[in-house]
Amino acid sequence: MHNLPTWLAKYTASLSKENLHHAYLFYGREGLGKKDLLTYVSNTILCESSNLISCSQCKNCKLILSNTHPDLHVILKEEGKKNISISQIINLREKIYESAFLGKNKIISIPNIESMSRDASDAILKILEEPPKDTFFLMSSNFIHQIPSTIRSRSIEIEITVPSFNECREWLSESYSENIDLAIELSNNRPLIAKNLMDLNILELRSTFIKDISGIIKSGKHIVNISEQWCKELETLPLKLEWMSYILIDAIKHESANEHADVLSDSENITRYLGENSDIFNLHELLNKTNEIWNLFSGDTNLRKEYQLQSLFVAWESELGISSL
Amino acid sequence: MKFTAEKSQIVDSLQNAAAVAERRQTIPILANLRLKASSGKLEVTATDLEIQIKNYSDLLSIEEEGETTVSARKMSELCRSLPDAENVDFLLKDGKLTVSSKNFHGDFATISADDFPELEVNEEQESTEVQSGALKRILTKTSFSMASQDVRYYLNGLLLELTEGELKGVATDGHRLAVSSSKAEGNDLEMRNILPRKAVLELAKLLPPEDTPIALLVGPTYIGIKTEVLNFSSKLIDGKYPDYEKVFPSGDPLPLLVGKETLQSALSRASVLSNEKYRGVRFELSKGSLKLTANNPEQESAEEVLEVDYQGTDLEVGFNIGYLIDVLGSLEEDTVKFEFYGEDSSCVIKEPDSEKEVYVIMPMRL
Repeated sequence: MHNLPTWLAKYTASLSKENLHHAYLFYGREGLGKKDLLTYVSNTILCESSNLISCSQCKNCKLILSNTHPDLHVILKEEGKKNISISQIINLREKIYESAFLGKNKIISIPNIESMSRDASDAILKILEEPPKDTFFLMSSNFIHQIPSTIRSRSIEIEITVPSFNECREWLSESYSENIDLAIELSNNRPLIAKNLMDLNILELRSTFIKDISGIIKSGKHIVNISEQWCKELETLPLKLEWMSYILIDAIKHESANEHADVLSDSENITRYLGENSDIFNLHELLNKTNEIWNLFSGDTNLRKEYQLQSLFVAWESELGISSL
Repeated sequence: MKFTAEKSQIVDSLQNAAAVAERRQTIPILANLRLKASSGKLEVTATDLEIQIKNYSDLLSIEEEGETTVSARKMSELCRSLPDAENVDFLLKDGKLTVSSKNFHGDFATISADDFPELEVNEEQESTEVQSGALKRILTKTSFSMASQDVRYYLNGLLLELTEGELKGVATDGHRLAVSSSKAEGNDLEMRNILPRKAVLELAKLLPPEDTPIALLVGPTYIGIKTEVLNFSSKLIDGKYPDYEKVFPSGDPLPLLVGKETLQSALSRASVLSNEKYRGVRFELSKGSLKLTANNPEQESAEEVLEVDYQGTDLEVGFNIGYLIDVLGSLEEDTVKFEFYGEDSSCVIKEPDSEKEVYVIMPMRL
């Protein structure tokens, strides 16, 4: 079984098998490996060894490896559904009040617990209030503020923080050799996002992004084309919006008249230009709007993404574009 | 693995096991049966992670011992449709299980038996012997009263109580209660465990109705039933069963004797015109007669007077027809005995001269 990367290993240090709480809630930004941590902790709890490790020798570990462990219940959003539904929790309830199949611990693992419906989280709360014995809830979320406080108060919350640049580089250099620093910088030290970027051909992605943005600011043409194109590449959409925020933040840094502002190097031309030529209040306002839409896209939304993007681009164009100056 | 069997030897155990195998298939291997050929026998295992069943059957010959898993549905369907009294050869080679008879030849995909989650029984367990027929009777006479998907999870099962000299099953869903008991002599094990709903229903089907001794194995988280050809195990519901003794009404009973079939047919007539949701029927009792009335929100009503053996005071009380019909369907004698304790109290139903099965139904306010 794989070992945890260094930046995650410290979170398991405080856990020991004799002293486990019945519910843990891991939270933090996307791309920090919370799911890996969840899997790791559940495997170690199920493993027959007395320490928090998974030996990959015992029957429990073998069953986990073949995805057939009877006492490990992973609750995920069902395909085509908007959220984790109450019926999934009712099914779960039947299983967890029975003794464990292998006679020991039971694990309920819920990654993305924010995607539970209201009814489902109420039902989970009932279980958390009086948990059956030898049953452990492991939950994780990218959006801790969307979790009902009733659930939070019954769990031990563990915040997963962003690892240092060096930790990221060390981990990434195991599998890649080029462009590591850029990927870490662009993903804001989030290793899994950085890894994803490396797989997606980071240089091309970034240069297209810069071309798109400068196009919007310079001419305001192709807004419709660009928004359609971005919406086709759904996977990178939240990231691109995050990068848009960075551009604004970097521009604000330039505006604050610091000669050696710590900004992303490959977009420095744009940000310096914006910093020197835009009103700082406009920049802040635009930053708010960009963040709003970025937030919207990170969760589930029924709104048409193209329209939202187009309105954002129009705002950028009219506030920052050459014509407005 | 390589062995030969006659169709009739293995078809029953394959079908019994296939009934347990998971159909919804959240974990693919649960849709499979594990076949294990060793020491002259074929062991067929199936589980849905709640219960597990192992069937043993004799084989004609084993050339090479071994184990594997194959699709439960396909294997049982195939064996059922093979001609009777035909010899079937099984051969596991390169991950394929080849099944061949006189003219037929088929290859099955397999999953390694190492990945099969077998119910672990490594805890201390005690064992005793009970009669198969008695246990089967207890389960079938009470299982209809179990709750299903109730928040009170301990009601979604059946309480099996074994005390010195007595084996007892109790099921309730909060509105009705069923208790069935039988003698279990020579037993020195005491236990009180809740069997999950699925285990009860499956076991009621599997147990042979004759009175043959079977081994009952009990551990803290597990219960097992063992016969020569069957090894059934189930998890237990981890909870405290409510004190059901308190449910029995107290006071002086007002007994009523009535023919079972007469009442059954009267109730099914009344149910047509009763409220479809609540299914209430009113019992109006006076000396020697029982008047049943039912009505629904559409102002339709039914009324029927039965001649009964009743000597008590006049009484009016309402019940759910469904619960009454379930109980009557489970009693065997031609006459049934009701015991009433007043308008707001539950009634007790049993056979006139037997305390083996006792049913309690809560009244309804109509």
